[in-house]
Amino acid sequence: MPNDGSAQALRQALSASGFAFDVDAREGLALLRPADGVPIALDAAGRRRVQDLARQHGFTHAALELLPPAGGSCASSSP
Amino acid sequence: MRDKAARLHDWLRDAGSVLVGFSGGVDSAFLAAAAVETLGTARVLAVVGRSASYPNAQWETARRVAREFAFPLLEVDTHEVDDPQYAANPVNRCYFCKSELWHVLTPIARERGLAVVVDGTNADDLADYRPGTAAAKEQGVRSPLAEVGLTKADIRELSRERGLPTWSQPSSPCLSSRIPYHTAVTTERLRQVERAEQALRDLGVLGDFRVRHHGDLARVELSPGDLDRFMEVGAADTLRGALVGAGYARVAIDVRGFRSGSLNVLEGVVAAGA
Repeated sequence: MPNDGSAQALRQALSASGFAFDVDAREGLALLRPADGVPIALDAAGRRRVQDLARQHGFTHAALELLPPAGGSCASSSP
Repeated sequence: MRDKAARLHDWLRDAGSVLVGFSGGVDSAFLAAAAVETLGTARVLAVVGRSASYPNAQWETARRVAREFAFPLLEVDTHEVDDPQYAANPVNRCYFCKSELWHVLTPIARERGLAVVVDGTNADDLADYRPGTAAAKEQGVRSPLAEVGLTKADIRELSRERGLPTWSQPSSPCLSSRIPYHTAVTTERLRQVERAEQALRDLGVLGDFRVRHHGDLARVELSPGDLDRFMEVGAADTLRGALVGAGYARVAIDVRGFRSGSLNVLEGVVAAGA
């Protein structure tokens, strides 16, 4: 079962792929929160990449947390 | 498919009279229609076991289909949520649910002189993890759709040919399936999931989707088209607001989207697919 170490490793792998997320491990679920608080809209390719990286780090599911609405623009999806 | 439909007709004729466990879903609606076609209304009774683990809209659908197709219909309440073994939400939760359902329905069949109690299990279901099947077998319930080899696709097509409105209905497992195993099933949580999913329907979310309950977090699984739509910031804000309104403090969108049985995968009950 993934743990905080897995979450940290996933965070680094996502960052290396251009995705700035904090990762919260909830058993098999990787809960992804935009690291700088700016919402990220993932396109299909981005979602596949994120899902693949999560699976490689032992997670069966990955979910993008929706932040409360705030001012500011949205970061683009996959790099 | 035609051969299987003919075998179903023979199966029902040989049964002589049936009580159909009727949920208003695709499979049981088709089974009830086929039973009435084969046996006539005097030898068929469709019985709805009203459970707190289903949305109220489900019963409205069941009543509408029964009215339109002249199924004799009886509604009774089931109380599996009051059973501590069910409420503890073990991996075999469905066994306790179906035990309660058939415990309530099989005496009705005896009282009414109906020979066989049948359910809408189909041939595809046989490959799934379904602990409720054991409860059905223990109480002598038969699954004619599965026994003659009818798949979900067959049933949808045969339903469409008969004009059953359920032919294109999304699959509708009970709301308890949204709650991770070993998290207690309570009426409060079931109603919260029901509110959340209705809120998404009100936003125009169609097809297969689920709100998975993770305590204060709602994890939403959407179909591919809705996933693209609600990944955009404005739409995501609207979706989040709808689920906060249903009582969740945090909302997340699953990046893979809708996956039938996904909590079974998350809990390690079944292996993750590719």
